[in-house]
Amino acid sequence: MKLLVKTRSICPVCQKPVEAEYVEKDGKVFIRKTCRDHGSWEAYIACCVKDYTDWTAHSVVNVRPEKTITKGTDDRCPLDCGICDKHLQTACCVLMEVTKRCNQHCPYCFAKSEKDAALEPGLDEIGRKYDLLLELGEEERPFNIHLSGGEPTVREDLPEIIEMGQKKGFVYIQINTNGRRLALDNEYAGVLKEAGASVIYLQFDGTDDRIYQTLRGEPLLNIKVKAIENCKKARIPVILVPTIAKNVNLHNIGSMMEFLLDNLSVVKGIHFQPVSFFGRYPEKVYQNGKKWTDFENRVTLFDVMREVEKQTGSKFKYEDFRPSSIGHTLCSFHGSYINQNDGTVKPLINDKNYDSKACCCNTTPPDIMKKTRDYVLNKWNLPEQENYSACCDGNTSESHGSTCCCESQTMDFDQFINEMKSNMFTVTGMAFQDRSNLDAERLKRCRVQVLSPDNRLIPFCAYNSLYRK
Amino acid sequence: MEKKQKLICDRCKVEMVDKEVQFSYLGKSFRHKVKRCPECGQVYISEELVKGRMSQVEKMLEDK
Amino acid sequence: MEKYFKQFESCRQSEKPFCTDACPFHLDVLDFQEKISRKSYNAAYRTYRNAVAFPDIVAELCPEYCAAKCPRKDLDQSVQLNLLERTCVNKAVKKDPTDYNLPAKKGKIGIIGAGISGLACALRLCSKKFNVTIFEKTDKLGGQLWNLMPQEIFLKDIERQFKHENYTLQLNTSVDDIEQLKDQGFDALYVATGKNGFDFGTLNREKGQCYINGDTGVFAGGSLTGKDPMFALADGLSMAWAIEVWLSTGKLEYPGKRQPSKAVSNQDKLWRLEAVIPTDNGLFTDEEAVEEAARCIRCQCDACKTYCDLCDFFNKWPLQMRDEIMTTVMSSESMIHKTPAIRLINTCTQCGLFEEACPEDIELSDMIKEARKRLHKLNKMPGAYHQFWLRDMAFANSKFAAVKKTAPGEKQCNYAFFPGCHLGAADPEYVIEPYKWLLSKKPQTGLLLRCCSVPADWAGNEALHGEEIQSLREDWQALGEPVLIMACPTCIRNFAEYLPEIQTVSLYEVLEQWKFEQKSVKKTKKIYSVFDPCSARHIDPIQQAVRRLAEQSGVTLEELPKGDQHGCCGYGGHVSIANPKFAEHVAKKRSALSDNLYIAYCINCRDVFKGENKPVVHVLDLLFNINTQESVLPDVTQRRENRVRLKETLLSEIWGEKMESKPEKCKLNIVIRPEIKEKMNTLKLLKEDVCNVVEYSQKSNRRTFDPQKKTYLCYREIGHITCWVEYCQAGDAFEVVNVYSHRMKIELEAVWNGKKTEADL
Repeated sequence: MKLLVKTRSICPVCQKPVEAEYVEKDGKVFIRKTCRDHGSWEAYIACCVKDYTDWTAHSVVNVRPEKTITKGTDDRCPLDCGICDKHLQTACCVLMEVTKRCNQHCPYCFAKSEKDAALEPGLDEIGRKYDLLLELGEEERPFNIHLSGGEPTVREDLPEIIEMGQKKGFVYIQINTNGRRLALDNEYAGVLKEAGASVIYLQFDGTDDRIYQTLRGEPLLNIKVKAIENCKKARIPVILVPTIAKNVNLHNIGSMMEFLLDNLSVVKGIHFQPVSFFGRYPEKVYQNGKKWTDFENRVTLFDVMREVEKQTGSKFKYEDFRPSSIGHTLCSFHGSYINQNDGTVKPLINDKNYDSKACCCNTTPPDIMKKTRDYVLNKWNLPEQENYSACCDGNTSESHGSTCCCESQTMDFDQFINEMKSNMFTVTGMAFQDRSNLDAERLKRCRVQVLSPDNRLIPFCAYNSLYRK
Repeated sequence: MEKKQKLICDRCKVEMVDKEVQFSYLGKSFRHKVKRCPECGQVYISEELVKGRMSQVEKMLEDK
Repeated sequence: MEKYFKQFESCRQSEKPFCTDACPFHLDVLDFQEKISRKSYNAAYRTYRNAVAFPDIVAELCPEYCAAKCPRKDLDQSVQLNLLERTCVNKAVKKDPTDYNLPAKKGKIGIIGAGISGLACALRLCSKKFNVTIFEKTDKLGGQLWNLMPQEIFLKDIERQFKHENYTLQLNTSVDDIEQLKDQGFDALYVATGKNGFDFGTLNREKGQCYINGDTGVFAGGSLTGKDPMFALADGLSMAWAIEVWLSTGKLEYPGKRQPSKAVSNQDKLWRLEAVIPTDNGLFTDEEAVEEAARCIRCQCDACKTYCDLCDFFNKWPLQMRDEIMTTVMSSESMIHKTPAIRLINTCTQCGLFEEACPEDIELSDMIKEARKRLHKLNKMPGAYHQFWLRDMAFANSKFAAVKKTAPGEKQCNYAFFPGCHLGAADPEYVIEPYKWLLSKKPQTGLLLRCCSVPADWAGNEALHGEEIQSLREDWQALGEPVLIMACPTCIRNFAEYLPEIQTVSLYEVLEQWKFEQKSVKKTKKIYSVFDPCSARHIDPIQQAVRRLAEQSGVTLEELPKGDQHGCCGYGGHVSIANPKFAEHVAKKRSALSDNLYIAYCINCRDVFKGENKPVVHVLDLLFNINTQESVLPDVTQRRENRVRLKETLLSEIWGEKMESKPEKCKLNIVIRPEIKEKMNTLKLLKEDVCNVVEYSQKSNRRTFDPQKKTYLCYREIGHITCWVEYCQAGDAFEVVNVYSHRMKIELEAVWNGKKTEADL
């Protein structure tokens, strides 16, 4: 066993901060920690030490938050979140829970949804929350907003919430939804678009109903497809968000990628989230005669990236993925592509020879955060021309004497202009931490933060593992 | 309107028709429909196209 | 590239302003000022409270340490920050602190003395949920505040800020000995016993005013250590930090002095603005606060944004430019590798003003020059950006335009005139007159008429530049290694960099030294300003020579507002094809430096200003009466014709020779309408290019006929651009109706309809 790097974590049982270390064991990487009262714990990080070391060698930028709320100390992280003055990364996206109610019941759900409406913030309170976020965010460009729940679409005033955010100056507001309402109410996507929603962040766990049966307790594929169709009609972009669990839908990734490519006229990306085990800690079990202390369904980002390559017949390559330019390497991966008409995809990052120094000292902090926040906004802008997506259905646009994209492999000028504006899509992933694999260094660099009911900004993983009441 | 106008290939004395032609700039290729002679393949590109979308694409490629 | 990359690390853009530096609390004045300007008093209050802990108390007592550092101090009056703070404290309505439900922290801290310093320390530690006990020997909180201000102000502030905090307060408790607290289990003590108070042995220890007593860290600060009230309060806050460090690491770290700010105040933004007099019972009204806040010039280091045209035009800070440039020139096999800075790299005029302005000696223009070389090597340089000037250079160095001769009857020369290639292109007289004069003074003076090769350098084409430099060296050797008398400062700079073995002297110094005498002195009342080209910045001998010559000729001179500290006229670096808007922007900016008429001594400056309709003369105009204000600029075609004419005239007038080879004339009778000529000049298309297209069209019949307009349309490739010509035939004349060009290449199929196509365009 070889020590790779030291960090700090918490005891999964009593949540006491403890020292932790990444270690190599049989070529694999684990995070290990020991609590005086509850013994040693190990969580699985990467199946191959080279993947881990190469990946963590990528440099990422951290831009400190301008304003912090609480005071923290290095050895107590993550017990003083708020965010604290020791936090190294300002939020790119802030999650705001608008309800705890839900119209579904999923065994793996992050937010343990409750049926009784009861306490959810009113419009006034949400307005105050927006104001607070404006105050906390950088002046140049406010945070991106992620409205979640529960299921936000159960609130009848969701359009007003979105509109209010837009009016206050939040240029990017994404709606996290299971898609049920979008599917059942044909007008609803248009209503959200009209209100100013930027993107539908659609839970989408695969292309096979058995997956939904396992993960969500009911077959939902038709609902998802219908929801996407309605979004297409309303011209509001969609990002597919699968929760990936071993033995459930890890094998379905290739099929999901195909689904993505088939629906690029409205789906602008896929965002894999390996399942995490926020509220729980693993039973100590034995596997192959060895003590195994992590969840057996644990999937890592490396697993997902490797499976994407494997299951798409190398159409997408592991080498084309990079950590996001800000935050922490182990938190996310990212790949941007342009879809080619010959059935291939072109990766937009190719920085094999890129000097690692060149990206770590990137630009001035406000600019890089603005860019990062704008990036998600711009890549999802659907083309202006209304009939562009109809082009491939046979309606050749006559107006410029230009050709239809089906006719040849290379583009004409209009297509290129459109493509530069819209034909990009992304394949991304984010690994949430739970009590087993929590790493204080990652938390300090977290760029996805939750605005808690008591108006603190809490790194997403810390919120779900420790703070959610 | 320019696109309605008749154009004749002076060598083949036939009317030019809309056909694709291949272009390249800074390592990127395009096919765009312009007036061409069906016999000899001669190309005509209007100033409107040059000043409009073609220059837009040139700029985009330069700034990419 | 790596050398330049590192330089940017010292960029001072994020240095704090002087007021923040002087403030005991290091208040973020820029943030505060900005919020006041927006009348966001609540937000400004929060910024203020986060820095000072007790806003009402500090606003009341602060003697404005910042005022002494404000650059307005010596001009009118320092920004009245304290008045702004009082106004803010008065106008803010949401003053209660936020109640955060934080978990309790381990660590028991005792604070001896409930004065301003002890309370500040207690507040910070309480808000982090440490266990805090305050010991106060009297029966009340506040210490010296009772003598300094009305009690209702400070008691209310203390009460408000401690609203959500829990601590133990032991009044009437005098601590005389640390041992007295021994069994209470304090992890740290803060001794803030005030002026002449008991120090418990803390003062002047090895690590500052602190020591370790058993398991307890004992710190002292505030008035006890001789500080005035504001610094005492700030001490309490920084001691809270020191105590936290002690609790978490077990190490004593007494807060030290900070590095002084390296910000630079921008004198350009500083003009007289009288201090605003508050009219609202000693406080500002909303409008007054905004007005006073606007007096702040927000000191930061922004020299580059002020001086460098590139930073200004792209609105980018150096670090961002550096990173975009690095990304662009990193080699990569992929065609879609990002190249965000191609245009930026080709927009730099190489004026060098960035380097003059930057206090950290970052060399942006050198980095950009290097980046152009990289771009060229990587084959990522858009060919059209520099093609025109490279062709121009080739023509200037061709047998049609270049002259390399010793004086008539001489085999060698000690001096040779090097006019540069643009001087004669603008007007042959600019070369002929001075050369004749030189010959009259020193009849052995030779002539080397050709390009100095800077276009290849600016295009990043090292190989070509190397060849040209070598050929220049050979020409110079063939003439007997003379001293070159240079008319163009840019040529001088290029020679100094790449041909240091060649001794050069400017024509203007020679005119003086060889005793130039004005034929007729015409006194004029107009006031002129000499516009020094970037390449002559700081070159005092040339600058002075030009000024003296100009004055001799009878004009009155006035210096430009900043002398030679201005950027390029827009010609440098050959940026006008890559970024025409920028070139125009710069030319306009330079034209507006002064209303005076300009005197240029770089022909490119003259041409640019003339193009902008800015009244300008070349100094040679004054000396030799060559051009007047009214003369028209030659277009790109005429410039070539001028070069040929220059050579022809020189050969015949000086050497009595006939010019043997001249450029081929167009075989056809081409007529070009004036408006089309203008368009060609803008597109930088030569008449030769247009002739080429028409000739090919006529020869090959490979052209399109428009029956309605009765015009022919044809194109040919000219290097990296494709040139289209629309023309009609009238008798034997060919009238050009339209021209246009693009950079996109038309890729004809090798085979069309089963026949090989003539893809010989």
